[in-house]
Amino acid sequence: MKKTVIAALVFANCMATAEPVKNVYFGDTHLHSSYSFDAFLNNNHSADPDTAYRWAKGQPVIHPYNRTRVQINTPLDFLVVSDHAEMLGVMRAVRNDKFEGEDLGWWGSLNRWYAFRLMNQAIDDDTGLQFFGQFLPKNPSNNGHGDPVKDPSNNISDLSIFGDTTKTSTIAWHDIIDAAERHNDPGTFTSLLGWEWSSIPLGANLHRIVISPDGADKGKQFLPYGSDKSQYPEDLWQWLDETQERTGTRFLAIPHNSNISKGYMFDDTTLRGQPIDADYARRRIKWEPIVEMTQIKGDSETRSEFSPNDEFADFENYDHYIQQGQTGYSPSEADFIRPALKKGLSIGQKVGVNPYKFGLIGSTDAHSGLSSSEEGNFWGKMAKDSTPETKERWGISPISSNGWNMSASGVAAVWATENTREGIYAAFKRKEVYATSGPRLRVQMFAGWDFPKNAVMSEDFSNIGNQYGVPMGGDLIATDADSKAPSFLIRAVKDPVDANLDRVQVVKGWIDSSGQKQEKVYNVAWSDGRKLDADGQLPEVGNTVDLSSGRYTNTIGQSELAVLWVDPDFNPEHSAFYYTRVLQIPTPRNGLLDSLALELDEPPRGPKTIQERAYTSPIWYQSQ
Amino acid sequence: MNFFSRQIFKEPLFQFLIIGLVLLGGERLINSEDYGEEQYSIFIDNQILAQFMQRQAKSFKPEDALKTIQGLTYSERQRLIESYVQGEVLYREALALNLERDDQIIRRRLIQKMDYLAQGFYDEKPPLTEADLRAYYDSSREDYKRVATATFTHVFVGSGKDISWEQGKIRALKLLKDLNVDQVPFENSGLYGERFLYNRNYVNRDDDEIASHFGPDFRQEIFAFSPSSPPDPLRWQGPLRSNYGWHLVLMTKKTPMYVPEFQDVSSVVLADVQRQQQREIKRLAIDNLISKYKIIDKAEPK
Repeated sequence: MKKTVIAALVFANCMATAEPVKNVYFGDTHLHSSYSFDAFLNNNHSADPDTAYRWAKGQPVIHPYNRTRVQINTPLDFLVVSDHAEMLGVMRAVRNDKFEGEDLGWWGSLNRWYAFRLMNQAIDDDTGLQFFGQFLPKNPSNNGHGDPVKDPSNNISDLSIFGDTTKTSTIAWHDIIDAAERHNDPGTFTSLLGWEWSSIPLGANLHRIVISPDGADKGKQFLPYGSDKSQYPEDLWQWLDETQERTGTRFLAIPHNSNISKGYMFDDTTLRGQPIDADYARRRIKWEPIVEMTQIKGDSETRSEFSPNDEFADFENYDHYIQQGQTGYSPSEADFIRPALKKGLSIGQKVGVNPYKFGLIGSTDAHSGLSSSEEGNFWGKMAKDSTPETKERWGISPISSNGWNMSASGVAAVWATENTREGIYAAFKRKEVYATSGPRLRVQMFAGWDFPKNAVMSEDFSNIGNQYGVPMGGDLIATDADSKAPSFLIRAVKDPVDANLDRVQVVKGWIDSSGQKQEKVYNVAWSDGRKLDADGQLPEVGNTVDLSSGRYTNTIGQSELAVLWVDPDFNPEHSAFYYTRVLQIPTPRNGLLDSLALELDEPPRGPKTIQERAYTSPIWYQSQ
Repeated sequence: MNFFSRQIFKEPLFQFLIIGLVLLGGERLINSEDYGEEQYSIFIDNQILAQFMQRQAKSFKPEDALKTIQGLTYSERQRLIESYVQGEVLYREALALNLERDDQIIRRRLIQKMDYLAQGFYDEKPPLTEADLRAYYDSSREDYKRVATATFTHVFVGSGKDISWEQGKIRALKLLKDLNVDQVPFENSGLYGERFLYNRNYVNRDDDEIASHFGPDFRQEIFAFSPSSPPDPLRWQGPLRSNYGWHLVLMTKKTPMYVPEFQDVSSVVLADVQRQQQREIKRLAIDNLISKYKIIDKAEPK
């Protein structure tokens, strides 16, 4: 009898292994090196792509500003060095007397020489940030909501003073590709080619990271497409389309920092103000299957203005546009991702295609060459805000934020069959990815109609999840005439070297029968045997952070939370999405550690503690 | 030096300077008596004013600036000249009084500039040979070492919560016997024990990751085990204690820390040598400058 049981189990095991085993890999798709013009102007003169890879792989490196030896605590599995396409490598080349430009005639050359001199002088004077400010929109008006590109005050940066920088940028791009090829180690560490398209009309951040799983042979057939070519995302997609056609290179684009997009990133219309039609929606979701939920410059999930019943909204709000002057920050629904996911359902009902049906990742956007997402080991957004004494003033700044407005954030987690370019790219495409604000939380979510009862504690969690349901990023297909509610198989495990878990929540958004957008946050699993009240609210987990030492203990919370949850409010007529949010117990924020080191009473800006978190890509349910 | 002279000849401003000097020299030969007070003359033109204005305004658009200058009224222009002149005079007088000496800010700026200049010498580096790379690799082998890795599966008995650590250990020891008697293979490990919150199988995982999942003591103990794999008899070992309970381990492979062969890391070595060479060339350039000087320590006892 015992033999039969074992045989049956072995058989089940064999069956299950038909589906390749997926592992979770952690990385950063958004990192700038000294080849980005703004990184260079802000004191990153030395952390090049090579430094970036050495840091990511866990080696000690020299910090580009404070020159100390720094090292990541837990190495990354993959990295994209994604420098700004605009002026790629130019500042660095000018500084090192390696600029190669076109002949501009005597007057043009004189102008260029003068611009170089000013730039060098700004670097010598340590006023690089101020010089950089010249290239930012100046007190742009934010009235009305027309096409920001065509607005007469959209007078960004006259970069033409540098003439044609193609030669210099080509050298830089090839350096970046060569570094990626040197460091790519299939199975162990993956480097992907990428860059940033930095469109910012009227100070509205529309930036996209573009990444490709292809190598040098393809990468050297084109130059990164920048916003100096066009500020419209449609033109970027057009270029991706043509370049893919011409060279066979595969791409995808990742919007980020929608929180500072002035209501343009996830708008009801295209940037030109035209209604979104099926063609636009199809092109958008083809090229942009994932977005960045969280990074050093703030979190873009949602705010209390748009999610008043979510007690954990307003996480790491960042209220500073990328522009000169102090135009007041005014959040819009079109800036945030939860509202965008709802809007996507609504547009999808109208035009037949959901343009905002994207998966979620985190990344850093660090400009220091160091992918720095460990809060206690945070080495700055720019190179200069890496020490407590330089966080307040990066220089004479035209920008209203400082280092304490930010926290170490952003990891992209992918469930892939192998740690290779192909494996990671495939995971991005099928959205089997999730975001964390830094810690390496391991999160799985599957949705299905009928999971086995013991699935939650099963060793075979992934296989059961895949066999009876769909993973994060997938679509839950209604079975005919069966109006049974869907269930969700969710498991979250703490970062082995970080804090315990507070709770697991499911965030649901849907369109009700009258066409209204709705949302609800459910507490579905939690630590320490707490009890839900009648409204489904859960008492706080507590806080072990000692404000006088900046230390915490794992005496509260749990190392693992798992649940099989059934949607209690399911209505088969309502199209919906579901994503999982996992919260850690509170831990010290970098500002608290700085204030203790500086012997200040309070962190100058920002909260003392932070509840780090993870967000899975949604699973969508489409009503019939 | 070649590099700089080549560059400077390409500089249009330098070319103008030469032409200007020639013209100026000729003109001076003709009008030599007017120049007695030369050091007390301040020459002004639109270019100078435009530069001055931009620096004051911290706004750098030369063409706009020139246009503005050309459009100034007489009195506006005079005011601009006055403030330029005031700065220029103070600057020249300060130089005349040698005030730049012993000024720490100026000293630091000039040192910085020389430091950057010295970096430029890297362009004239001699080419690297394979022998150079091998020599560097031999002298810094430690930098290339690969961490220790292990391949193992484990059977987990949770303890300290539902059952005590002592009960857990007794249960684990009993299981250990079964596993060894039945010669349970790697792939059937999942049929025994409980689910562990991280992984069941660890394939070529490095010692840091193992330590982060199981704790530092576990790491030390497991790397003391010797591996066993078919056709040899399988050896389940343990129990080892982690923060979560007891573990019975079947280790099939263990790779201690090692230094890879040169050819496996040559591209990394190349990058490292280039970085080192750059530092070295800069150091030599600075040493070369220092060697022009004799250093006399007056306080040193004779």
